[in-house]
Amino acid sequence: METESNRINFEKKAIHDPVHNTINLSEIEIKIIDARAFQRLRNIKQLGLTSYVFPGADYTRFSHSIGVCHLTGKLYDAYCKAKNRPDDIEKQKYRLAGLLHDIGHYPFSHAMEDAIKLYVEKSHSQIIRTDSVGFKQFENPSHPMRYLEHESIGREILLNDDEINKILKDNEFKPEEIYPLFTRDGEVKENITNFISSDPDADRLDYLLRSAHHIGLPYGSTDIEYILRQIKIDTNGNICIDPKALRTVDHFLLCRYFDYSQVIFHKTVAGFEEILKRVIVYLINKNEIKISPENVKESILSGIWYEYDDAYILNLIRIFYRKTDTPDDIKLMMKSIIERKPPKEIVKMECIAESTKSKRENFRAKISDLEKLVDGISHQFNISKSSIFVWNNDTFEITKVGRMVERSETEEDSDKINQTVRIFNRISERSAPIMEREDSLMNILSNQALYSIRLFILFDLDRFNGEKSIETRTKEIIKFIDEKIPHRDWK
Amino acid sequence: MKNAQITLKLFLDALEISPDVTTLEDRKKVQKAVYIGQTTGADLGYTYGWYLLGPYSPELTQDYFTLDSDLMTGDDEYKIYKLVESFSNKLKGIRKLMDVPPRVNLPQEDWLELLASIIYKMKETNDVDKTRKFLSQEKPHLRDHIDDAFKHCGEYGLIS
Repeated sequence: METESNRINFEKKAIHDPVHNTINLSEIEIKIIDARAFQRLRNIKQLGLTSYVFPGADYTRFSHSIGVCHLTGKLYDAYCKAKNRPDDIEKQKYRLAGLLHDIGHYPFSHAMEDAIKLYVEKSHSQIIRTDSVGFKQFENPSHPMRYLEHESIGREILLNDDEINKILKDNEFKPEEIYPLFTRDGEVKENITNFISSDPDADRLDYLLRSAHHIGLPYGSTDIEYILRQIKIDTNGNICIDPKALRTVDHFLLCRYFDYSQVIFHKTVAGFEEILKRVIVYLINKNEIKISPENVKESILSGIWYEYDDAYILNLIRIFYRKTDTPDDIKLMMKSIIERKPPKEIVKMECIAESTKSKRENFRAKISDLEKLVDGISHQFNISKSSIFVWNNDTFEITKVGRMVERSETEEDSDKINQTVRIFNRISERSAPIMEREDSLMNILSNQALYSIRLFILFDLDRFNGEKSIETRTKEIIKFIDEKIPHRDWK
Repeated sequence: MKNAQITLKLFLDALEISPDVTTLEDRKKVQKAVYIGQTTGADLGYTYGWYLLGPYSPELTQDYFTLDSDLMTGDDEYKIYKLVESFSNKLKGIRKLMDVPPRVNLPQEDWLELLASIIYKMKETNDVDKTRKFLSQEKPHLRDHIDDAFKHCGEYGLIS
């Protein structure tokens, strides 16, 4: 029951936002925004190096986080209206989780996190092969490297940053009540946690709307107000959408596909991000970037974490670029980032197909075929091996849960089901995942994935300007690849 | 299948824990079994924090959903691998700890939640009374079995 004492003024301050127009904030939200941990987000671009291609893509995690706070509140209001159960304290917790969901992001956002995962994945293993290859033990089996995903760093900030911790406690919120909401605690049964992370979440909604606004492409133009008006609660307590908004939801889910394929997987964006990851792995190996949870925690406690932003990493790259003992191939990559000299896409193979074992195996075999050619290309064309790289998108499914739902369709408690959009059935008053509706596009597309493989070469422009032109060299390399792996549909 | 998924599958097989993560109970079982396994030195590198149901690792969540997805599409690459011996031996040493003792009337996931929570809080506080009091307050549904769980953790050397 809502009482006078637990009412919260969510309109203490109004700020203007280019995407949502007016965003109202509560007192605690204003304090959090003013904290140094949150101010750091001003210096972390949402889309890493995407602005090298789309100049408007330079907005930061700061404005996105405020947008997610705002949308989380709107989703919560729609949920309460449907459920007739308003609760300001609960609403504030969710809005805070939305506001703080990206507070632990690494510099350059996902590019750096992916580089760290790559480094950790390669650094250890506790397994040995037992097939005909023989017993091949991976290196360093007894000392696994640890790292934290950005959501876990967010948890550490809430627990260990004096300022944030004090603001929460002064307002009678425990950090332990907030961070499970944005780390997508898989052990929380209530599906309202999906306001922050799921197919129809506030994070994704704000991202698509904000990217569309800044980049100037139309892919994120979702009719969010209409979706919010159609939120219902079914007889099992699930949040769902009235079938009237089925097309709008289909459109929203497709927006993500178009955004990723046109922006995130843009050839030059993908090429730059791949180079950045390799440079970051080099800096981790040089111990210039420390990734262990202990290091992260120490840097939060000492305050160093708050200098750890895009500019910090870019400056580190500049310093190492000037060092005489930095290897030439790494310098070339660093120059690529500093001077915006993109790698060249030599060949590309792309298709949309079912997300099945055989398709994925086929995809991996194609990646492997191309990787095997790297030595040959390097030798034949006198290009450093490290300047030739094969990129792939690791398959990209059209919905966040994809085919995962199929096996779980009888399991009401499935977290995966909760992560997808559910559509209300007016007759039974229950709801079902959108992909189970025969009148939805997702019924056909949710099992589909985009498979994309590219071979890039980072040419040393100083060297190649004096030799054959890059265009001529590229044609020769394509011919070489086509001869070695014929009958492939290179694009 | 990536190394992380192969290792996780073999780790769970060694503890006789199903990699099925369809339900909340399934996921809780996997989370706590990995946590307890790591405590014995069979370290997969997952970092845990304190969440509503005890120690929980978001990094592990990503990995088990990927494993589940791999297994669903029929990927069985893990079959040509085995755990390194030293690692495997550590897991053998605690396999029986995963079984709920006959006198404890709890589902396996709740038993593992209790064990994992004791280990986590003892590491944090190194104080039996504080841990006992905290768990009695936070986990009233497990209150009756706290003594049994403490005893088990002690027998297996999981708490000092």
